[in-house]
Amino acid sequence: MPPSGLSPKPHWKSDAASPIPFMAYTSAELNKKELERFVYSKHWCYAGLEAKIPNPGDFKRTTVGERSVVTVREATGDINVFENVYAHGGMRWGQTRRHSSRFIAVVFISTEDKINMNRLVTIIGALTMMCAAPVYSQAPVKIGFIGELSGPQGVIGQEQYDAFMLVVQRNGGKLGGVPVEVLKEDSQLKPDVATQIAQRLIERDKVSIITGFTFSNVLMAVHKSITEKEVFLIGSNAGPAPIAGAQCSPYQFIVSWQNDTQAEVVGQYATDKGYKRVIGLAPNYQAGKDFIAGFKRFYQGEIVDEIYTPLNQPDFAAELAQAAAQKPDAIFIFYPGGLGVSFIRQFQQAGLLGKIPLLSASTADGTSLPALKDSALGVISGTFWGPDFTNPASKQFVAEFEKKFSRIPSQYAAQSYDAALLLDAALAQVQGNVVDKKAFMAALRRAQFNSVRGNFKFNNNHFPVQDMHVFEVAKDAKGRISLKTIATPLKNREDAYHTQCALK
Amino acid sequence: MTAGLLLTQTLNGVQLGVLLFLLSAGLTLVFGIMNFVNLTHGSLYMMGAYFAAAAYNASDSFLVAGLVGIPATIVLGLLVERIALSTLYTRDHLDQVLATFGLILFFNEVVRIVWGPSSIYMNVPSTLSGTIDLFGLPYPAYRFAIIGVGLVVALALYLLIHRSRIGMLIRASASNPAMAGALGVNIKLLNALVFGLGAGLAGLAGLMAGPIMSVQPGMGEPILILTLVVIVTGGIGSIRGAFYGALMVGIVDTMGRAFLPTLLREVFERSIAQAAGPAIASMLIYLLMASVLALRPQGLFPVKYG
Repeated sequence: MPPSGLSPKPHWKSDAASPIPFMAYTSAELNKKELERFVYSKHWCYAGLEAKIPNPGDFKRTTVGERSVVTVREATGDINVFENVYAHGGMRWGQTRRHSSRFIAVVFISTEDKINMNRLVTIIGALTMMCAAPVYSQAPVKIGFIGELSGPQGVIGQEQYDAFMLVVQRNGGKLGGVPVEVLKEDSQLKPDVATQIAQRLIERDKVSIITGFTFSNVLMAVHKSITEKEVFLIGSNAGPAPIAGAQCSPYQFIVSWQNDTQAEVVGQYATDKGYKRVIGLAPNYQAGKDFIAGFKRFYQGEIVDEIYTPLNQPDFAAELAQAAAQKPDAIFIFYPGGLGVSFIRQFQQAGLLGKIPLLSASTADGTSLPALKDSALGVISGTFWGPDFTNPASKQFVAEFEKKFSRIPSQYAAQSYDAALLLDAALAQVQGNVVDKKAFMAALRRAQFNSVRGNFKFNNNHFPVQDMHVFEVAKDAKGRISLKTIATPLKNREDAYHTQCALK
Repeated sequence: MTAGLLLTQTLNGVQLGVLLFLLSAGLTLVFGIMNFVNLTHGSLYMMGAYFAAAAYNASDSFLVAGLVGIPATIVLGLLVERIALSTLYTRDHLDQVLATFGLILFFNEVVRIVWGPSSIYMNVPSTLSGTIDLFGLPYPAYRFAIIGVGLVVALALYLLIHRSRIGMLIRASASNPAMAGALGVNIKLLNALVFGLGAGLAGLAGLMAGPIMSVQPGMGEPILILTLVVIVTGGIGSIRGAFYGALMVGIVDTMGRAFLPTLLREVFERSIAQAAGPAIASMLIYLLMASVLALRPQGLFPVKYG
């Protein structure tokens, strides 16, 4: 039946069954009246299914009358509905995201019910709130995540992503009290792919922050294009020398370390232990040479030999025999990922483990130890954090990570967890306003958060100034193979390149 | 350079050669007899290692790993042959290369999805975990076991190909498949048999390599390249060629890596020797292959028939 009392009245052909007159669809006046009666008067309108947004941070976009609205599951588990308008530009930002279609309850919104905010929110109520409260507290901050997520090296990117999302999910989809939307992208260890992704994230998705960055060569490819667009680059793994030095940018914040420092600490350890003759082995590529150079910077004894092997060589029998025959005091290696698994296994099978100390960087870590188990016992490794740290932040992180993923977190997870905590602190300080770049930069720079490594401080080049530790592969309290802290040879280490950075 | 070190490195070379032989024997049979370029061979090696490692982790027994890993690889090889490759036998080599390259990507992604991107655990059997003393230099017992297994397989293959009826049929169909078919030999079955044999050897290589190398996605590709060098050097289709070719490549590669940087240091400055040594050492086997191809294009031990 046509709504009565409307003018102009639609003309019905007859009282019998007939099509609805076209003007009922096209008349602007009718439309206005319809909206007033059915949408903007005291009435319940359909906004969405509760079951479709089961987790904190989930949201769904719908249209009520002329207005696009977003229904959000809050951190507290409550549901809020608000108009889909980005306060600063009037742009719509919402995208629908779907979850379970299980029918549990239908969320209706009443157009005049301003009080029952916990369960149901009114459009008008929400609109009033939008005008009264700081609006940016609702618009999600978009964060891009670029990392290596596929291929043999994908494990590191996955650790970074898992730990980052651990913080986001714990906070109910928020960082610093602000909803965040994390856009996950796989750079496939290809600099050109990473360049395209970064461009898309910045131009199309309008992200204001990009985090992740697993490999140095990938980071180098996108560093300039991201920081030049004044997008904040929160690196949680790679720390290549050029951006720590002359090519540094105020928009970069590297939460992990400068590459060299992981080898430097092992070099200092070798000096402290009084090793006189050391042999270095690494794959024959840039990072391999950088790590050997970093080791030599703090090692004062003699490097008897430097052996570089092809990057795809999986068998080290010849090199091991050669190295063992020179009877060194210790052997230093940098073999990331699967190469390290092969090397350490063969080192152990050759009967060298326990006879010659094996010092390593980025080799015996949380990602390779599960494949090595007992055959890595006693291997020495240097980095900034280990799962046996006793500070409360680290304990909480390890417990939560193990509970969720049933594995010991690696240092890569720890770095990314800290990156999320850094953003959490900085976003809270600016109340989610990332448009004021200067204020957000200052907030990041201050970096007031409880890092898993204890104290955290950025240097002038926005790389951390931090203690570097040495670990030994040993069994933890639960009998699992893990890393045990044995020494802290470098305290408050600033990287070797920070003086070349023009930032103050 | 002591005699002990020289002996150790020779053994390392032989051991690498024997591992390469297990792979190249299968590849050379498929290549030579079925005239089929099978790049999937490296993936079968990887799958063999994964099957074995999975069985090892479930049972904690190397024997079970072998009993599960090798038959599983054979079954997988036969399935791949039936489903994908048998339709390509009549196509030209480029099509075969493209299709089998696609299968490499497929298998790498499959293991990543099933077992994850990081290496998985596998260890040597406890009886072989020790070392054997060679003139004061310890040598891993497990590597001796690899050499032993390889030599046994070489002997068995020799007997199979040259002293058995099935071997005679294989040789016959290699030399003239149409005539062998006309005389009542089931060529299709024979092809499947050869492919299954190759897959089984790849699985065995995967099993033996699992405890010493990292079992990870893509582990088949570097070794596939070496394997291709072996069969080209030894002569395509020849088991004997694969055996000697594999030993030559293994020994040349190991000796080059072990001694070339040291020798260069006698002549050049340390920094130059350090940069050039590994580069030249990794080129040696390709130089070997190139010289063999220049002097004897059919390889060092070409098949006598056909």
